[in-house]
Amino acid sequence: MNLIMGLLGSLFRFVNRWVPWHRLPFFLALPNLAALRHDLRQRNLYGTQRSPGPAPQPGVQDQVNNRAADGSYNDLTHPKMGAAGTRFGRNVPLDQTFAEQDDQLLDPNPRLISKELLTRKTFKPVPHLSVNAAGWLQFMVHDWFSHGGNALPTDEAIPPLLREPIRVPIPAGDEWHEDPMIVYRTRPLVEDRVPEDEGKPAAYRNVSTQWWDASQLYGSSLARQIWLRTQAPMIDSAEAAAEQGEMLANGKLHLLPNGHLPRFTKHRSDGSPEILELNGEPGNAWLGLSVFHTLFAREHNHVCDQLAREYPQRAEDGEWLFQKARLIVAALLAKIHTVEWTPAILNTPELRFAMRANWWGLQGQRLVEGFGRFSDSELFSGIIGSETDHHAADYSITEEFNAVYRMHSLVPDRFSLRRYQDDAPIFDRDLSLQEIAGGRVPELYDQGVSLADAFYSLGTEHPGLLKLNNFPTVLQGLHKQAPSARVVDLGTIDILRDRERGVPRYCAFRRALRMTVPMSFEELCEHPEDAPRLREIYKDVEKVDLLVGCAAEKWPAGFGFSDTAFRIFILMASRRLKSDRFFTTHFTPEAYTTFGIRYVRDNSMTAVLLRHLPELAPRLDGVKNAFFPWKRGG
Amino acid sequence: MSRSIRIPFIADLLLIDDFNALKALDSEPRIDRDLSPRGPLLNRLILRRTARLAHEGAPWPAFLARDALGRAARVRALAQRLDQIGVDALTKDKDIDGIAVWVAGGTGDREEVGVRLQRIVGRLFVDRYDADAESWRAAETIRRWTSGGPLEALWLSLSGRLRSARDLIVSRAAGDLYCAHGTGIAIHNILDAVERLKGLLADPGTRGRVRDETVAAQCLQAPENLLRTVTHNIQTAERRDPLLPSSLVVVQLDCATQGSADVDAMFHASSWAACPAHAYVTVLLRAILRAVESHRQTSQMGGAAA
Repeated sequence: MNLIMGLLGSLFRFVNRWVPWHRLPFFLALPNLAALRHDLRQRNLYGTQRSPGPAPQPGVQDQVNNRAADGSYNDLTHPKMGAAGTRFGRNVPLDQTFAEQDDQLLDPNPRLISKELLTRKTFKPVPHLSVNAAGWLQFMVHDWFSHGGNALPTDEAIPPLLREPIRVPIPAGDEWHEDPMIVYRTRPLVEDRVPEDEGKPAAYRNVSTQWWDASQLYGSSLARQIWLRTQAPMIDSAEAAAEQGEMLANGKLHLLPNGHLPRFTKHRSDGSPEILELNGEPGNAWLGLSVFHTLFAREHNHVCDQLAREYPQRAEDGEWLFQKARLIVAALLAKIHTVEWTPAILNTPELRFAMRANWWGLQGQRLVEGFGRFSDSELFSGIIGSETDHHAADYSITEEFNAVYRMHSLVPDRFSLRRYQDDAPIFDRDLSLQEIAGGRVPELYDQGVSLADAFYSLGTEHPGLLKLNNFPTVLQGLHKQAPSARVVDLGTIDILRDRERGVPRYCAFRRALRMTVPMSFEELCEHPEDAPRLREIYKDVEKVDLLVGCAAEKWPAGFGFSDTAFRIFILMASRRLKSDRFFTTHFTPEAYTTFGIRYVRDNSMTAVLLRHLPELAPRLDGVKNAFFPWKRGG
Repeated sequence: MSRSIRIPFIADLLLIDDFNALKALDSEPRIDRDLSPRGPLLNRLILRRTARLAHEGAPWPAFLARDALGRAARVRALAQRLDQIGVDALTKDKDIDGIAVWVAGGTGDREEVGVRLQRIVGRLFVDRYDADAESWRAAETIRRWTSGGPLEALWLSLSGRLRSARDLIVSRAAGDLYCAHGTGIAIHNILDAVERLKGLLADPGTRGRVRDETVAAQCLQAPENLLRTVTHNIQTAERRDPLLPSSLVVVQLDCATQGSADVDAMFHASSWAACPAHAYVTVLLRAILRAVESHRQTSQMGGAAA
């Protein structure tokens, strides 16, 4: 198979010099995609884990058939692989990932880029998607990765130079509240640094488990998992949960009697309390994220009930119920993302087919579900149930994956919250993002916005297009809470983060993926009027940042993001499944139960929505994909 | 990934491009570097190439067996001497300055830089070493012999060019085969690294990422292939059949370390066959980078004054 794919790769590399994969006919585009993925697997996976890494704290007795709380023991021969606290890997050769330094870090000025090239002038929507697609993406990202808190200047564990904030000069005429703009650096490796790191590019820790294990619901540590499973009126920390609360004996996640997430108090930098919803992955809460957390926490509890009914002999075994429900919900999330969300955002016949083939192979859903796998081949019978393979490097999420998933432009600036029954506005005006974020989320629910209203409102609005000048203005003046409390411009930070973390700029990035590189701004930009604007700021096309280049280039028809980002996507979307034994060798009734395998098979996003919010049935009636716009009521 | 090619009487090769497999193999005492021609046809042809570089029957240092008389002591002494050379000592060298001008985008060509590098390396061993276009062309011939195609190798051998090139390199090195290795073989890797540095500094997308402490990791590349032979039968994880004394192990070091930014791995630093110039080459690249920066500052000041 390697030989065939290698030959196909050579053939399509030749063909793609003149015709990119997305302009080929359907039956040529598909093998082209398979060859691209094969090539990327061989040449674009690099590990950075040189240290022993954190000690595994699985928090589960049967490590073979259950997911560990911290993501350890997924690979039984390398128990730490992918665990919380291990390092991000890379998709480009490590010698190309040294961070930009000094003047180059600020060249061109990232604030100028944010203002001139990112600021939203008029909202450009994605007409074929709903805002739920944006909320879902963040929900998934919270499962896969987080760099954790920034390097605070007061953190004495960090060497002084590395905790010194980046100071971005404010361009003339810009009325930003401080000059220079202070941007805290990404927290460097401190405890985990080893002599072998000397002279190598900086690497950073992923504080979440790196696997597709629903850690956004269940947490990335045993302590957080216990907190989420502990019933008490109001617990503000994992330590308090361990001391005061009692873990639910039925394997369920703690939900309030009204079916909403439990809450906890966090103190703002001025000392005032803020009530937030509790979930597995803290931070960046807003209504679009909250709805999915709430829905899938309910789904977890529903699966626990079903398991107890199916296996009455285990009905009293809360730990068993929890672990099996977690496996099932995680697999269901992965399936929804693979065969529903992705074909919605990459809405082409080739990608619809390819993503289904990732799950069921060329054999197809009906034959796999009816008769089981015909072959060991992932191409023929899908990745699910095939052999685990990490390809060229141990599994981890990568910095480049992180970079291409900077999709803040998906978020609209204003939200109209409406009743699902009749589309009537709930408030007398549209709300800003900050009015539906953080501590405002539980307040909205308390003010009578039901979960169905929230889903419906977001399901009937469009997200923003990931193009130039479509960055939400509210995120360019975002009030961050403690511990890094300050007003920040996420546009500036997005540009800086890639430079700081050594993600190559646009042209170098494409070269590392063996893609053609634009020789001029005119060649890069889809819209000719953008070329002079980019030239004025960048002067040289080689300096264009990845985020800007991806937004400026011409995308394949039907795509919701660039072909450049897609290359990382095609590699990593498969890798999250193929490296994880719970989707490959251990996707078995022994691990999941027979009921579990059936449950993953039979459910979809629409099924989950309608199970917990049956009142939404008329709004989803005839909607082919739950991430497409829903029907308006009234 | 490792690949085994075994065709009776024709070839018996094990190709290794996985760094972990390479490390495991390296610690195996039955894997050595006795490169006298033997085994099936292709093995013999490959080994004959290295044998042809021998000077008066003595193999060049990179082809000496693990326990060859005096090898380990000489390598250790050389490494100790080279390790003591600091960046400051090198930046005073006129040739470093000339190379820096070229790296910074000034005039000159690859051959001129090659000659300067050859002189810098040669003087590490022979005080009055001198390099010129002739010695550089000899080094180029040796490169074509070691890594060119079979027809080219045949032509170099039959025409006597290889012998002339080898003799010239050895005579300039005053018979010191370590110097001959440095100025005839290793020199190409160093020049490639300098050329890569030039490329990185010329590219506005990468210029800001090159730093003193990282320049070696960004510019160096490991030698393409290393050859190893087998002293006694060994069962390895890499193939079903045992490796025999007639088998040849081709370590694809460049492939195994590509993109790793791991200078130790590129120099095979933890191996018995480690390169003694590991630290020196890093220092040399730093010195060139420093000279480039100083050259730029001088030009900027000149520009400002004008």
